Amino acid sequence: MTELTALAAPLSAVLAAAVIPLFPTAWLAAANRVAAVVVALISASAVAASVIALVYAQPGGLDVLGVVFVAVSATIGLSSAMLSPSYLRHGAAGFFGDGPRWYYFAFFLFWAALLAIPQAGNLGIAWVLVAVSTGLTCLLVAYSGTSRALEAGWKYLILTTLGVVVALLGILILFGSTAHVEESLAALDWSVLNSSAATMTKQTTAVVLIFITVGFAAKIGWAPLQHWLPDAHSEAPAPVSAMLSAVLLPTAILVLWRLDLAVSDGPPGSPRWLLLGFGLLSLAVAVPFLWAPLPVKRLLAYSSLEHMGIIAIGLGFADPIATSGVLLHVVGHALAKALGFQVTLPLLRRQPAAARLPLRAGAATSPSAATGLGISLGALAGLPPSPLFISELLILAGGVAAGQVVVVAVAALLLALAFVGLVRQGLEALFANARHKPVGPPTSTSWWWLPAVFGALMIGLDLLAWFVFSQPGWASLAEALT
Amino acid sequence: MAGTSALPLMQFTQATVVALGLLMLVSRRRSVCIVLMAVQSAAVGITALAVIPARSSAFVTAAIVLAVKAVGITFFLALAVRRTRERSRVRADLDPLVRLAATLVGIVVIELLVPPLPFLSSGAQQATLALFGFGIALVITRHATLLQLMGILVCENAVALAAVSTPGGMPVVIELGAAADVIVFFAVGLAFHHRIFTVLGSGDSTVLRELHD
Repeated sequence: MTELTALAAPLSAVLAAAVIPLFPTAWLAAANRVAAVVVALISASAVAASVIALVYAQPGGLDVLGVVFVAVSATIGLSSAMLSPSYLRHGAAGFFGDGPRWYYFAFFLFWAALLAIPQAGNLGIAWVLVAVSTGLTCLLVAYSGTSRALEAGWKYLILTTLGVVVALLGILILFGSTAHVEESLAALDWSVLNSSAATMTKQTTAVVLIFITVGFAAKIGWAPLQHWLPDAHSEAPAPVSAMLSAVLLPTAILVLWRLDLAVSDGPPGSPRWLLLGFGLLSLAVAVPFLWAPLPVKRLLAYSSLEHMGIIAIGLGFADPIATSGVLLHVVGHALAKALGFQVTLPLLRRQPAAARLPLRAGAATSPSAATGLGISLGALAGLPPSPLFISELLILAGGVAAGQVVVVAVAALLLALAFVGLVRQGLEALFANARHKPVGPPTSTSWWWLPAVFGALMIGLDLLAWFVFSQPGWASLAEALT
Repeated sequence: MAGTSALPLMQFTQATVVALGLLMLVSRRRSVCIVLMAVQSAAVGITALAVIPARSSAFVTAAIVLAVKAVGITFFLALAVRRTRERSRVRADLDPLVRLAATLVGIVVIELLVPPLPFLSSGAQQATLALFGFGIALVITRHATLLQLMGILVCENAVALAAVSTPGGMPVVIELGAAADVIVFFAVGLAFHHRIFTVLGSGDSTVLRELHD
């Protein structure tokens, strides 16, 4: 029953994608909001049922990783869906004739894929979902149809699809090398790979991991394959940017995480050098841009590069403490990043120039949105009580426990530089003098719900993490996820 | 099993598709590349059909997918070329011989780095990696958006070639998923190409250089 409920979440999103475009134009926004609530409720019940099953050691339902990622996808998807009508009311729709219908169609299919990927018990199925979702997200990225959006969408399409095909080659090599154990799609089940991968030689395992990791690295936007990321995340509609940064990137990492658990042939606790390499390089590449005066959405995009690098480093340490930090980081980053992108909606409406130039005088432009942006940037910088402060400490502590002191030192230095850069950019964005007068009427007070809800969720996450990590069973669970 | 009867056909196909990939890299015209890619897809598809009696039914799916690719994608690419005639030829930065030389060096490096895979013959492995390299080189070195699209389709042909050369092929679901990926990618890519041409007046990706830091 729990499995059916979990499957119902992405299926309900697919149904929404099919049904919403059929509504009359005047009803599209309302239909979208109702559908989003339904999808979120189904996802929430699947998550709750799975948590109960996990606590009482009952079979069925999502595993721990599935619970976390479906919960993140449901939460961010709901907030993005709720804000989409606001974007569509004011945004351009140059790519499609009947823009909103296509938007909702692509959005809900995208959301369905994000809800389904964490549940995929098979590498091949996960790949198919990631691959097919790429095309949908390209259309969403380029939704406005401007030349800049087209450029961003094109780069995203070409570079990520190339990565996806590289990963497919790696999957084929994996299948070909293990299919003597099980000659069907089941050969790529995570549980089957756990045992069949032991029959591969070290060299073949290395080739498989390299192809699939490099392929997915292009999809995740790890350096040096990050060129599409700042463009796509900054040119996409804000609700879509939130989904891309907060959900899609970590979900793609989840596939690599599961692969690593299933296939990696190093002794327990041995570092994953490929992940550490991508992580450090991503951090190093992101830092200079976090110091540069950038338009706010590009700044948030480079922040995504930084945080995906941190997650890679956490997984690369292959230590249970770091793994706990990674899980907390995924959720904390999702909340902080989604908040940041979503408050750009009212901010850019009042300061259209901030779409191309660094934001200035945000606090005077729109107090509610500026509060949200301040909370977001502060959380992303790792300012306490941000959950990212705790998660980064856990990841670094895990690195020390794993004996990777040099990597920890380099990562800590880069994180400190990123912290200073982001805080500085945040202060200038909110309090520096404006270049232009704001346009249009003052932002309505209805935007206060965003910083209030997301701020509360982040504080709640701190408390939840403290509770969960202090449970006696958590250490062995973290060990199993490492 | 496929046995020795299909071996000469496999080897011929491997050599043919690699040669076609090489020709695509140095060819100047989009229409010529389309024909070369159609022949490439057809060659792999015919080979998949030829080994069906000795292999699993997954090869039927592979053969059908490749046939659709050879015919359907070719048709739509040709239509796109007709509808988006460039005022002047979209030139690559590198001379054809230079890009061929650079690509061959890259392919040799990859071939040296990847150890022999147990389930693929050395010929199949070399052909797959070479074709993959040509596909990546097409994406990187050519500026025409349609050629960049075709580069990725060539990479997919490389994966298809490896799958056809693998004793068990690929699971049907993956074949279908890869086919869905090709369809979605191709449809979206063509939509983008048309839109770029309409908005910017050219299918030259070098005009897409507004975004930078």
